[in-house]
Amino acid sequence: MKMITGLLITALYTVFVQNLVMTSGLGMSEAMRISPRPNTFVRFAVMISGFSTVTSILCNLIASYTGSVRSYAAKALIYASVLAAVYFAVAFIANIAVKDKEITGILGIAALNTLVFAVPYINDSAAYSLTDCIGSGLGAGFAFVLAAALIGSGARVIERNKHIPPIFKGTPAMFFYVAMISLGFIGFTGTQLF
Amino acid sequence: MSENSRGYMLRGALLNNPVLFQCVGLCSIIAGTATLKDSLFIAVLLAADLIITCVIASALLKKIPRYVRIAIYLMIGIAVIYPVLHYIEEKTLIEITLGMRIIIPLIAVNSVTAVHCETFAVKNSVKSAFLDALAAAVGTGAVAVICGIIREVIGKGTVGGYELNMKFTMSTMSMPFGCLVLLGFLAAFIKAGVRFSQRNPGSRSEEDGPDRPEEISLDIGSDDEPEAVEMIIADYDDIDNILSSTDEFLKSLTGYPGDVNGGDGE
Repeated sequence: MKMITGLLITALYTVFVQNLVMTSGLGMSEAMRISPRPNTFVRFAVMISGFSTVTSILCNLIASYTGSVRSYAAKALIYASVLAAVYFAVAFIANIAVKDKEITGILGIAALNTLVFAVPYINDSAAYSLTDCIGSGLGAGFAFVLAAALIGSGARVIERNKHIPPIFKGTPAMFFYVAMISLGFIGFTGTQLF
Repeated sequence: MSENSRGYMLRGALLNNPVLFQCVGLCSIIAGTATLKDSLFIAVLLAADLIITCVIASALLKKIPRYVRIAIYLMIGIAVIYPVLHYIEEKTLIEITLGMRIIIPLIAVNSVTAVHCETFAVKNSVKSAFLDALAAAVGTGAVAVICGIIREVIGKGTVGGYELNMKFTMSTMSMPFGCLVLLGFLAAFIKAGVRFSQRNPGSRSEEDGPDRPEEISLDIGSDDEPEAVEMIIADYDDIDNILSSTDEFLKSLTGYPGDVNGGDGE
């Protein structure tokens, strides 16, 4: 019970308080580009959750087996190798077993992005246990869904708004809108703004 | 520089800027440009990663399946980043923050590299891939440095570490919020510049005009892209519908009949 509570608390913290997309910009490109397609971004987020959870577990196990690696260069090498291996195994199986080109098409971007790659670093710097790592991995996917849903719904409103000056329509208005959401999430962290 | 090379540079660095108009590579810019020094690190490493990966992709990876290529991009990225991180750790003269030690490896998985390799490098010659990557690197690097300077000045009251004795600072500029607002203004500034040059065709030479569709052919969402590539860039057609003025912007650049003069019925 204590383990499940810990997992849920970490996941909720990752989604709502430390939303990595909105408070750190991790996976922001993917969230902005995929947000207009709700069907795709849910699948995309499930893949992000899967990859970040598996990568987190493996990196945690490697760290507990080999002892704490202090060098950031060595950590980068280990995490990248683990992520590449996990992605390659999943992509290989998906290419044989799954015939849906949309799934195999987005698999690479879902696995190899800054959000998934950053999760093991965050787990390491926060000294998370294995359970926390699972919660953090799952939370990364939910955080992505929340961010993409907020961005997507805002993008549709911006598109319909006739009062936005022409030079601010499109990406400038989107950046301002995402900036406002980001500021809202920063508020949850208790950071002093001024 | 030949006219063709100028076309690549103009298109890739300015009109089709990866960060401002394609929304790629945002993480590195948002998280890693709080100061001028950090932004220079990001700009140089991102350029090295982008150019090396695109050249290798164009020269060696054309025949390899796409799902394998994507993993190779990560490994090339790490091969570029690892020696730099190792050097930074060995030589304690170079001081970077703990945050930057985490952000620098993330460059290995940046979306600018993946998009440029998949949409351009693997379909073109090494020279073209190099020029395209160079243009994207210049565009991304310029955005990073501009953001770095402005965010450091407003957010910390310093530039390059030198105190400016400002009356007040706004720490929100060091946060993602500040960077996103800046990116919005930069994108609008470029759009305004293009609009101005469209309205005043005599204000620039005939050669460097962005309204020459045969040179500045913006191929985002074109019909000849293979299905897999359309997937990796998350269907630009849909996104262009949502980000409507980007679409309008691209149309105006390619001489497409549309709102070249900005009158959209407001």
